[in-house]
Amino acid sequence: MVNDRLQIVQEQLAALTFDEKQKLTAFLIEQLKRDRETKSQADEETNGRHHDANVSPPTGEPDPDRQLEYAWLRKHRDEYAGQYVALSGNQLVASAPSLKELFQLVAQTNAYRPFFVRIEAEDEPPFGGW
Amino acid sequence: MSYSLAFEKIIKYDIGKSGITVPTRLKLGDTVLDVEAKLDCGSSFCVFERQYGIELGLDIERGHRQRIGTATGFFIAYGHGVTLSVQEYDFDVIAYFAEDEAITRNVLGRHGFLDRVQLCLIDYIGELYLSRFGDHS
Repeated sequence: MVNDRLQIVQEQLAALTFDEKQKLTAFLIEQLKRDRETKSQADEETNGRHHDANVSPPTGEPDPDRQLEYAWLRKHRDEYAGQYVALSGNQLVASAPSLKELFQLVAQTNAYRPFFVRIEAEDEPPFGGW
Repeated sequence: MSYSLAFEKIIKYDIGKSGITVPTRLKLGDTVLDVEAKLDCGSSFCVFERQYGIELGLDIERGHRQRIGTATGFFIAYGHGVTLSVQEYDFDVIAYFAEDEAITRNVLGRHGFLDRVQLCLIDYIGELYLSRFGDHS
């Protein structure tokens, strides 16, 4: 039943415009932050930790934690290994083998403040500082 | 004896990735770039890829020329005044942009980041606690 309802909602969301999806993403990020705040408060009560994760970005501003982008990266990292990607929420804006090319591609979109990431190649040696 | 510190922010980073990766914002004028950078306590400076500097509108070679030593030699980078933001903390800093576009690393080092914050790292579970230095004592 829940899955049926989710599928109906997903089908409706797919028909939204890009701008509407951006607004929806901002809304969902705020909801996720509230959920996390509730969980954080529960954690504090149980283990005494001190942290403040409840700073909500203004509508339209990307989440400073980039949670949706990292969720996308966990799912698609292997497909884009060695590439630069630009992400907006859980959507890939563009990918390219160089930053220069990536910026050229992103300039052709109306993505608002995408997150730029270079996905390390599988055979790349691990980061060792300078 | 025990010590305690309070922090305002927590960054939960992916322990499966190489290095400790932090979403970082670079701002210059109206241009804003959201990028990934690795925390590097061994780096004296905050260093970014050349192309990010170009995208910010910088003429890279007009900045402060700096040789930066590495385990295997050195490279050249140029310092420019930008605003660097992590977790909505804004810092006006001199960030360095690599001369060589083959350098594909972005790091948050001592001058410009570590000297502006207090932090607590629990790498086992991928948690970085952060406050702007001076906000808490």
